[in-house]
Amino acid sequence: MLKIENLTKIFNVGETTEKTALNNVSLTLEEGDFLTIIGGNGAGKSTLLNCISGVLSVDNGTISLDGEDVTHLAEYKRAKYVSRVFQNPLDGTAGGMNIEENLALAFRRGKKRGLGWGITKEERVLFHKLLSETGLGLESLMAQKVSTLSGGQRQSLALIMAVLVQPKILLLDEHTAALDPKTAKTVLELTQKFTKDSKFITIMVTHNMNDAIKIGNKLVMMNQGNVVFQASGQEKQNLKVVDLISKFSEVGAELNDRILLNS
Amino acid sequence: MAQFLNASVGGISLGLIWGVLAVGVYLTYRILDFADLTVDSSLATGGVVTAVLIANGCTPILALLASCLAGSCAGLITALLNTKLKIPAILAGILTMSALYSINLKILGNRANVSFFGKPTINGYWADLFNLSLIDDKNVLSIITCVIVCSAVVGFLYWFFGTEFGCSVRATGFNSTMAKAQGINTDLTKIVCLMISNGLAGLAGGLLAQHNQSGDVNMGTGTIVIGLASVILAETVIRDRFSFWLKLALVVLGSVAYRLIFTFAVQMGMHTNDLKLVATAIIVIALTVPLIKKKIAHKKLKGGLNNVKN
Ligand SMILES: Nc1ncnc2c1ncn2[C@@H]1O[C@H](COP(=O)(O)OP(=O)(O)OP(=O)(O)O)[C@@H](O)[C@H]1O
Ligand SMILES: [Mg+2]
Repeated sequence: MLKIENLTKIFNVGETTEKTALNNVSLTLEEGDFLTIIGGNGAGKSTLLNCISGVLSVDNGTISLDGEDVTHLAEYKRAKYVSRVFQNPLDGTAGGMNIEENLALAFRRGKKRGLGWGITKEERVLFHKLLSETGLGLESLMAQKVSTLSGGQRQSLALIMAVLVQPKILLLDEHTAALDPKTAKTVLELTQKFTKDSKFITIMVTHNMNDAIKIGNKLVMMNQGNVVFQASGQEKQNLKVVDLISKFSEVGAELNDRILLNS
Repeated sequence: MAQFLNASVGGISLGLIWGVLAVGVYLTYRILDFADLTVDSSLATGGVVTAVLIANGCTPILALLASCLAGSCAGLITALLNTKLKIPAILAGILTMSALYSINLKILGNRANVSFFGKPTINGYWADLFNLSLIDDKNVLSIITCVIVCSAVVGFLYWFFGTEFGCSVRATGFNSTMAKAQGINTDLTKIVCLMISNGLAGLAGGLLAQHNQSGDVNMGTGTIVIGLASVILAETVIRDRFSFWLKLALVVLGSVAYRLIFTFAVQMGMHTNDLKLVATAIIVIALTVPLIKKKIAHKKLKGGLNNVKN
């Protein structure tokens, strides 16, 4: 269970540029939950995810995971529980290393890294098998540098790496936004495949309201650092894009073109 | 001709000594992607530690190990300044470099240099073993030492960067965002890599001191330029697909090539005072060659296209 209580994050405290990016946000998610987050630019979606992963320190509030307080746990230690796919396909993989080396790094997430071999024969076999199962053809490129892959291939690999070792939480921050529509669809399908019947919690930020409604069992809308609307279960499935748009205007959120065009 | 050959042997022996340093520079600049200037002083630290130890009767091999260790300590300080106190890489290196100058003087007992002529050096082992003259065959002896040391260093690094920890150092250099997301303690990987790199600089300083039979507080001046020049020269032939050990070996050879260019320039009548000019010229040329190659390839392509059109 992920329990976020009264989370507050303020950037540039005491300066003229002071900005409250998260304002007393509370949120509880259970095992297997898939939450989609929508909200305009600067709503605080990325900030929330960055607080959960430990990239940002919080100014107030607590984050606990299965009863353990992880609010101040270092980012690299939290990686044992939290895995991520970034918006930029270049961020999630090491371009200068080949596919199998990247997978081997991900295979050791949350474990001690000592002086054993960085990748073993058995792992190569395992990775080959896993990649074949995804049906993307990556298994024939195992020894190829990741920098030679397309954005979509890289993002798919990042996704595979994120779930290679079961996390407790999977964070997806607009992970299909930088891809062309067709590739985005492939990566989104892969996401659904990996998270179907999963034990872990998934949180996905998206600008596509159709996806936000269609995918997952919970939805929150954020605006100016606040959660302004929540829906789950049947209520969520019954939502229409127009409902969400009217919710946006109710709270006076500025809808950018990206959201409207995507919906 | 004989004189030229002799000078070349001298160049090769120096090139191999500085090759150890070049490998260290390659680790920080190319693998960790960390612009580390500490080596300018950590090399001298290694040199003066060896000099003082041998002058006081320490065995040459132990002195080399101590030099290596002293260099790593310097690397540790730069790494801590950067990772824990968040001082930018270049400034952290400059600060350590500057502080080390005073420390190196202290190690020497507030003198600028210490000589240990007549004391045993690592080269002396081979002199006894192969019945060579310590003075006349000085460079040959150094070459024997350095081939062994360089092979050991390349072998060690080849193993190290294939381990789990070594892979996480490489990942840190390629993409620290990803490294942290995969649970890699990037502070630790930086610390270890800088310690290894400066340990190699210290080792090179120790070897140089044994070659010269003296250690000098200024022996490291300009080290970073020499190291970078060697790496850049090596990279004109290094290809992506090369095995890691081959890349490292080529970096050592890059250092040898750098020395041989010097030897040649001096033999052609250039004054040793102008060596720094040559160094800069080598770096600039090595860096622009790929650019010019690209331009030529581009022109050819364009020419080809025009021909097609016509
Ligand atoms: N490092 C930072 N320093 C200062 N302000 C920041 C920083 N990061 C985010 N902010 C501010 O905090 C607010 C929330 O930003 P955040 O990135 O969380 O928005 P978002 O909901 O992810 O928006 P987008 O849809 O554009 O990605 C914005 O006003 C932003 O300018
Ligand atoms: Mg964002």
